[in-house]
Amino acid sequence: MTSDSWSTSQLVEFLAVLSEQRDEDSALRAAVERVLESLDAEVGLLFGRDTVLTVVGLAAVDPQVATLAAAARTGADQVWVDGLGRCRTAVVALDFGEDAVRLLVVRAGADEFVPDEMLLLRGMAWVLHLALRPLRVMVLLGERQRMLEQVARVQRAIANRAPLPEVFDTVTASALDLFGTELAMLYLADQGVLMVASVSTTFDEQHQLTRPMHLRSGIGRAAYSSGELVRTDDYPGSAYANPELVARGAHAAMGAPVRENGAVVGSLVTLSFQPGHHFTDVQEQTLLAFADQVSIALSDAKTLATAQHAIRDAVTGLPNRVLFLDRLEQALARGIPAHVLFLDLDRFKLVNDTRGHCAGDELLRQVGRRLRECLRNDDLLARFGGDEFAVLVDNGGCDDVVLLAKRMLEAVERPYLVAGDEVSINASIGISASHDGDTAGDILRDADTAMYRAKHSGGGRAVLFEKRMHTVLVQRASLEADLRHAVSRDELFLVFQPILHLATGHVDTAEALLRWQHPTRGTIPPDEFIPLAEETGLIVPIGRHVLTAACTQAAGWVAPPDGGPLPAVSVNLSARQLLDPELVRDVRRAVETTGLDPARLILEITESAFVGDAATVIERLRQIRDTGVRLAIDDFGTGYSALSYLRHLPVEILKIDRSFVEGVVAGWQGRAFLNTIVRLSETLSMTAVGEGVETREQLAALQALGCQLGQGFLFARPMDAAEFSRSLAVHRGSAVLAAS
Amino acid sequence: MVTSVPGTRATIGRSTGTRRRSVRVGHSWDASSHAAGAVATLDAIQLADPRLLLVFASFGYDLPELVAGVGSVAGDIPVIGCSTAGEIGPGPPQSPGVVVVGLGGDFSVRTTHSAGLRQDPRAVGEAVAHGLLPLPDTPHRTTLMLTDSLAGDQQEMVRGAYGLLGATVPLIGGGAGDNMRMQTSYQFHNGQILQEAVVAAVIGSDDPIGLSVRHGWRRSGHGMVVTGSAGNDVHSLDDRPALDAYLHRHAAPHGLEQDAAAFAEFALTRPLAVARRGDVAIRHVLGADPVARTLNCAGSVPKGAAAWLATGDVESTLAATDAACAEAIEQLGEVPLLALLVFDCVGRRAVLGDDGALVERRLMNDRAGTAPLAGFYTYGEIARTKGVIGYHNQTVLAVALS
Repeated sequence: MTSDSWSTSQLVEFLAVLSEQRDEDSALRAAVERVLESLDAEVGLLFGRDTVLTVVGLAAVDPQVATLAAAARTGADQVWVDGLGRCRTAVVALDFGEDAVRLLVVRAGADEFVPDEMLLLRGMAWVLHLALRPLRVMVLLGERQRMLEQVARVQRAIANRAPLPEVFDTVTASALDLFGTELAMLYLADQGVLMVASVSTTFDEQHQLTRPMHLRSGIGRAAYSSGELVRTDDYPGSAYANPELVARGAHAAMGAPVRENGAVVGSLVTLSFQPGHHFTDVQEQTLLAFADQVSIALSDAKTLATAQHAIRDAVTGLPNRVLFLDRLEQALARGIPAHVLFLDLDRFKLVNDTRGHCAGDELLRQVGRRLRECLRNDDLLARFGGDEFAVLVDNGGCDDVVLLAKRMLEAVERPYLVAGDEVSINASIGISASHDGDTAGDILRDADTAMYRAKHSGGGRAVLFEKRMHTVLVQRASLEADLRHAVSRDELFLVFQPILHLATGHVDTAEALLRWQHPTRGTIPPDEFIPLAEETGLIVPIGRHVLTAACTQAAGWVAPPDGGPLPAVSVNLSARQLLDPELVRDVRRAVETTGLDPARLILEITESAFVGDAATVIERLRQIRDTGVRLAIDDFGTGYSALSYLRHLPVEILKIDRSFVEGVVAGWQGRAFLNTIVRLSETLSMTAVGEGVETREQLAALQALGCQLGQGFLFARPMDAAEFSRSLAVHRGSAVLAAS
Repeated sequence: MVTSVPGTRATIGRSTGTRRRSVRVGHSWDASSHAAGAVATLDAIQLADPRLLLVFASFGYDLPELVAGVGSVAGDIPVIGCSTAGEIGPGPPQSPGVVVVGLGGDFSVRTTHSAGLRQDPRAVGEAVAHGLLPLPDTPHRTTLMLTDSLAGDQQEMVRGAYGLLGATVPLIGGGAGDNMRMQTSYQFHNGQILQEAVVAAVIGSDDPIGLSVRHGWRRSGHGMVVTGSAGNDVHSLDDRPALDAYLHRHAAPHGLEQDAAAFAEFALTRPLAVARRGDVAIRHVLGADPVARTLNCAGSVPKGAAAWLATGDVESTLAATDAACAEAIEQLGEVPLLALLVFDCVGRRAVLGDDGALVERRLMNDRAGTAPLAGFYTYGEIARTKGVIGYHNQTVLAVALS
């Protein structure tokens, strides 16, 4: 695990600690304590312009607190604390502007805060900033996940040894995806001149920008010069306006500095052309954090680019990628069948990070020697940089190459003695063979793909490349095309699962669940096609169809003969649908055209629906509630557990995630949590629904806690529309509930 | 339920100018519990103006009787103490007994206790800190805490205490013992015998109090990543069940984890080392869950951290003891040593064996010189001298009083 991923883990732990806190005061205190523990510091202060919010390490009444806050405001990097002596300080802002809350960390002694520590501190400040507003934490979870995905994309480009310009293009394309904007640019300084390193846009081919070669003004220059984030929601009226971009309708812009070893080396800029668009504070933080990660990636890429100028790897003395590709191309040109073995050391980074680079280099040299011993004289061994090696085998049979790979794995796995300590590592190998028409790049890419497969299968193994590894991508594209036609071909249908009153056994509601009967692939499970629908935006038209179909069915239901109520129907709404401006109109139309009493329609949303523009979502939900339709939170408890935010939502029903229902019989913690949710729902006059009830023990526990409604296989599996109507017509209460 | 007795029988005395402090150590291995407590205490209070008594008593005694014996001599002198798995004092290492340390003269002292560690360790830490306020207004001060490490998250307890006492007061002390049964322990405050509690004393002095903590363990083999953990429980290492990774890497006897006592004995000398900024933290492996395949440690092991198996030998263990004692005394500068207190982990004692423990005792005595030596073998050590992490495993803490 790299130090970056360790930092990531620390942030995850940090977030977990914050979410366990009972109130804001204890969250702030816990946050400062954990920051001090991570940085081995003694005193921490959260302070604003005129106030001190939290102090750890000094009594709140200690006059030194005010002195420290004042010193931090003036930017002092050393302070004197009675009892600790001379101390180093680090300050990060949790927010922007003069009123920003800042976190001061004080560490006794002369050790400065190194860049890695500052990166972690900024990450923690970022998490804390968002945790201060419970709703924002949900935003954080989503933004963070998306950001990490995009960072992974950049790092993958580097790991695949893409040329530097390609890496830069990945950076800007990632930024575009991350913010949903139309233009992203990366500027890098070359001897003081800020040059455009990459531009990504959503503009079509004919309307690409006139690419400026260098930058003397503009938001990228401002971020670079100031070393701070720059943002404007009025781009045309701002000092940064570029006439070409203004003419195209640029509306809002943000720029963040890109650093290398602490020094500003460029900037990352993104522009929105959507009228009325405003970047949020969260997006600011995300851009800063993303730029930090990009900075790390760029350092790696630059190092690699430099190394590629030479023919030999400086550490091991082995041929490098350039020489390897040359040899491979020669073999292909002569029509010699070739195999490539792409080897990546598992866990090498851990050795490097924990024992230092000298030890890491020594290990690489030993690995190189051992691999060399496995090969014939004619085979070529190269080191591609990092922890990657490649072997070119001319004229070998496939079986021989697989045996060779096994020998290489065994050789790598034997313990090493590095700097007096015993070290063990292993490796993953991907193997590919040349075919007619293949380029050197193709073969290497295939070996790389197979190596990643080996790594993802747990490492320590060799995998032979198969075409289907690429065809998985093609299949996915095909599925997407089919899904586009599924509605018009009437392949999507609904099944209904009853939700029962736990006291009476009457059916209260039926949840409408979507299924896809594919003409050739049979029934496709929802967890396979719904994420695809969400990614592609198809969820919006599909969701509209589901809404109308569910209302049509429910309008035709009759009350059961046992005197139970006429059941409501509940329909799941995805986060994407909630952002659709037509949603409220669609809901109203579905109810009106089918004649369904709006009170009999329940729309289920998950906590993740508040990722993004929470204010817009809440407003949209209020409009829906005003039509008489009821709202439920689905899978409650899986998001941020700041229960207090619920009171701000126009929601009447809480569906408790099945994991808590499963846990309720496992131990007191699960039971205590469930109890909390049920009591909370009572306090807020909400109805609690236990999801995923599968055993009588779970049922008994839910009844004992006073949970009103339940859903799960114990009562009924989902059934098609006709079967559900029939079951309703003969319903006499649940046998299970009667027995309980 | 957290109970607290803030400042019980507090004796606040501001020292006045000239150096008039003394420390005396009493010891007894009398078979009678009452007599052992009384005799050792009687010896310890043979000094001017006794202000505080520290009692470290073998778990094998009838502890209510022993505490009554102490009380019969101590009168209203504040007492804190605990049961142990071995005492450090005038007696030989293998001989269980009771050691009583008397602090007299211009020491400013306040004592307190709080119980309820298992339910809310943080609240106990806070209650103890609250009971020690106001802190003595002396140039040098330290807070000695004797805790029940077998109950609750001790770092959380230390966090609670730190939250109130702050960075300018070192926190020191150790976990009470039960002769290696690893089930329960007792803490004493004045006449009371407590469980799942912290007893504490703040000690103020005009002259320095030297502190040093060392461990003497080395990382062994390649590092692992803590891929799953919660608090003190380690779920997985390198994505393997933590217990399996631990047993495999140690080539442990098959089925060891099924015998809790055998596993505890095995793990005593095989802790984990967890990467920390610039160093490693040692985590004693208390036990394992043979069904869930998890490890339970005597301290938190954060997810995502790099971890190693730690190995120690007699040589490195002795070197750490010697270095800790030397460093603590060195911090006194020119001021003469009054007494050397040592809190030494039972895991290190197990590495040393009986012969090694004799050598270790000799090293301690050599460093102490003519000053008395006292302490006990601990279940976890409290030593917050730098940063905010104050709870340690498998370390030796030396405290030099002057």
